[in-house]
Amino acid sequence: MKTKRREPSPIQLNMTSMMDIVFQLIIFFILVTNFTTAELPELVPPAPEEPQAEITGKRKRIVVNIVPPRKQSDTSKFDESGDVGELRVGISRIKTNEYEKLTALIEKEKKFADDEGKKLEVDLRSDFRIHYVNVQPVMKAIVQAGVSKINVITLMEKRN
Amino acid sequence: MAQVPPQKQQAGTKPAVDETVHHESHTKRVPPKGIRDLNLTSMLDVCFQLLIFFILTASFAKGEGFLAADLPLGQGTPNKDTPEQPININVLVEGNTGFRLTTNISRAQRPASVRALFRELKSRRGSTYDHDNPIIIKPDGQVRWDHVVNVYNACVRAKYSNINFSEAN
Repeated sequence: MKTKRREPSPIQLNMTSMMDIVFQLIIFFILVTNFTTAELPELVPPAPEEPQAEITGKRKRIVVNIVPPRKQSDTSKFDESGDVGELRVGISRIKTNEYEKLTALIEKEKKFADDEGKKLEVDLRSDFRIHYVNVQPVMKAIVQAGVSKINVITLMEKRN
Repeated sequence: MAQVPPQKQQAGTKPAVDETVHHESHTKRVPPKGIRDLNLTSMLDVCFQLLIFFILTASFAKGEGFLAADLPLGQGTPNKDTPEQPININVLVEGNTGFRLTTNISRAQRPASVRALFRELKSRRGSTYDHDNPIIIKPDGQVRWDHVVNVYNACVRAKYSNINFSEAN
């Protein structure tokens, strides 16, 4: 007797609930992701006891970053010497001891802000390891550009 | 209602035909052709790609804030009417990364910690010093910025408003 073989029906996985979970995860990561901007290079700001810092909101500001040099043996880590690797203002990189360039850059930004009728603030974002002797000339260069309001960037909680 | 016993099948006779009419729906629920085979595989692939991207790029960075500082621009003339005794806070380097504090505050010339300095500044605000009494933070050149900011934060926390930084010693 001829037996008619039935073709096996294709197995179908119900992916609906899986898709739900994946979407939930994607939404979570989109919300918590803090995209690093060129304005904020990787460094560790100081973490004072009981910080009195205010949350950085929307202001007419320019961020001056003082970035320490990288270790020669392990470039993923910062050097502990307290020296400065480079100054970064937005996407501009300024070498150490070229403070007149920094002053000129801030003067230019201040002029733009003045034209808009706004007061320019400078956020000084230095790594906690940098020695004061390397930070003070930067503060001086900012003040020389005619900006007296300098905001010292700190962490809002303890460093690990 | 009395039940009719099933009739016994006699040998050589055909089995009794069940004449009960079973109602079958003429309209079978068949999804429309387009929806029947929704292939989610490629969509899921894209979703996984997105998920992996966001997992890898997510950085749970610690929040940053700012301590506002109004520094003198070096213009104008000093006010000679009210001579004020500035509070000098020296931040001296100790060891490779440590520091110690000295001040010109009477009976608190060597605060043991930043917290002790804060307590001293706070207790004297309003009595010995006004809130706008100048404070000059004088760090050694080799002191870490971390310690300088910690001292500055203590002054802000003690509600002083006229805080300045000196040149590096």
